[in-house]
Amino acid sequence: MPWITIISVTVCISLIQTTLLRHISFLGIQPDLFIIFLVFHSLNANRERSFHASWVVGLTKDIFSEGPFGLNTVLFIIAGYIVSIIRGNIYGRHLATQISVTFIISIIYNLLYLCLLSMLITSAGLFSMAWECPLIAIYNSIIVLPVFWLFSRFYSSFGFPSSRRKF
Amino acid sequence: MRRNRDRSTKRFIIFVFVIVSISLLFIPESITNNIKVTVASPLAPVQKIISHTSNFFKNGFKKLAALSTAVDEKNDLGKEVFLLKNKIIEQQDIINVSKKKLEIVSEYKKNIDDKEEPVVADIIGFDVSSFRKSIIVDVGKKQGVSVGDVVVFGNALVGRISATGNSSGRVMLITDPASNVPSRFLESRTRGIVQGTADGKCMMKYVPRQIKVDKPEKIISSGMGGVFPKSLYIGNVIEVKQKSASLFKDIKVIPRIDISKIENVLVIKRKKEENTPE
Repeated sequence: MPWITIISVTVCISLIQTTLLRHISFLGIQPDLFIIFLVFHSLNANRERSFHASWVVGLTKDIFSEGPFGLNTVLFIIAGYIVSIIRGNIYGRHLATQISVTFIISIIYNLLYLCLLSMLITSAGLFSMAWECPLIAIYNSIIVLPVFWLFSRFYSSFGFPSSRRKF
Repeated sequence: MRRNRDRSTKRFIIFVFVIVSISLLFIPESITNNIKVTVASPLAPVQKIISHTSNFFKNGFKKLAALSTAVDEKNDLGKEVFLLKNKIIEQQDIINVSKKKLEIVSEYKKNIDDKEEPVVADIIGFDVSSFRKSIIVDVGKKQGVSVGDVVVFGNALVGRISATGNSSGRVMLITDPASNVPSRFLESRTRGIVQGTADGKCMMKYVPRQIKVDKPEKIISSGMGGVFPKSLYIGNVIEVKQKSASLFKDIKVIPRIDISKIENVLVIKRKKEENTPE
């Protein structure tokens, strides 16, 4: 069941991310629903399920994006692991926590991705695009509350484990 | 014991996942691209529908947003309409000028002599000298205009052709100091000579001192000398002076036609008389 939940949400996110989010891009930057879902799942699920979700979401992102296959998968596992580590020390249901964790994880993920990509494609000078990382993080943080609310509704509406309790 | 085994199994699974994930990075790009396409292709129709729908709504919103920009466009169109209206006025003006020309010709033709043929001419220039009063018109030899032809506007005398070019002619105005027009008072029928002055007005000379002149007496051409036709309106008397020792009155005349206010004139061409055998 959790796998179905994760895969369903991930498919929906993929569809939205590939079709609709370009309409709300700002300065060419659009929010990353995959990261938000990762944070949502990592804050609410146990470490094992959080790992599964990270893996599925990362893999899905790899499928729908250009670039080295598996890079997002690895990074998402790392990001999910980081969240699951700090989750014990924070109150994950607080709005400020959700926003700040999303912001931090977005920055970490994007910087790592940019570093790895810069190493893989040295001629592109990709690291000069680092200024976009905080912008993406801010954008993700801005929309994190409605997206978290939608994920919660989705989980409860389809009979999936509620986000109000750990699943 | 079982708990430890479960935990170990889970850790092993995670480890396998991590290894798999890392090993994905080493799969050749051609294979990964195939994997990506194969996995993503079932979602393509859904993506297409969502994209079309979102584009439909986006266009709808764009149209709604266009309503706000329509205000700016309206302003731009307003400016364009303003310019076009000006253009229409310009065209209307051309029509009016043509109408006026037609009226001038029609009006003049009522009283025209068979030997005369009117030609409408546009004023294309003015005299550069401050002390001479002449204009340049756009008709010349090509249109059959010759020196001495009378120039009128609405049956009022303007001047006469003093020089002709191929397609242009110079008109000496009645206000030019060198212009002398045999004339008479409309009421008293007293004759005199209307001579131009440098200030845009005329003086009627050779009016005997004993003649009573009332303001604003009208002055017309007398037709004497054969240069100017008779009964053309020249102007009105505005001032009458009598020098004690002089035999004639000094009568100041304001021309009927203010040349600065007209754009075209009528040049009266004189037809050459044919020698018909008796």
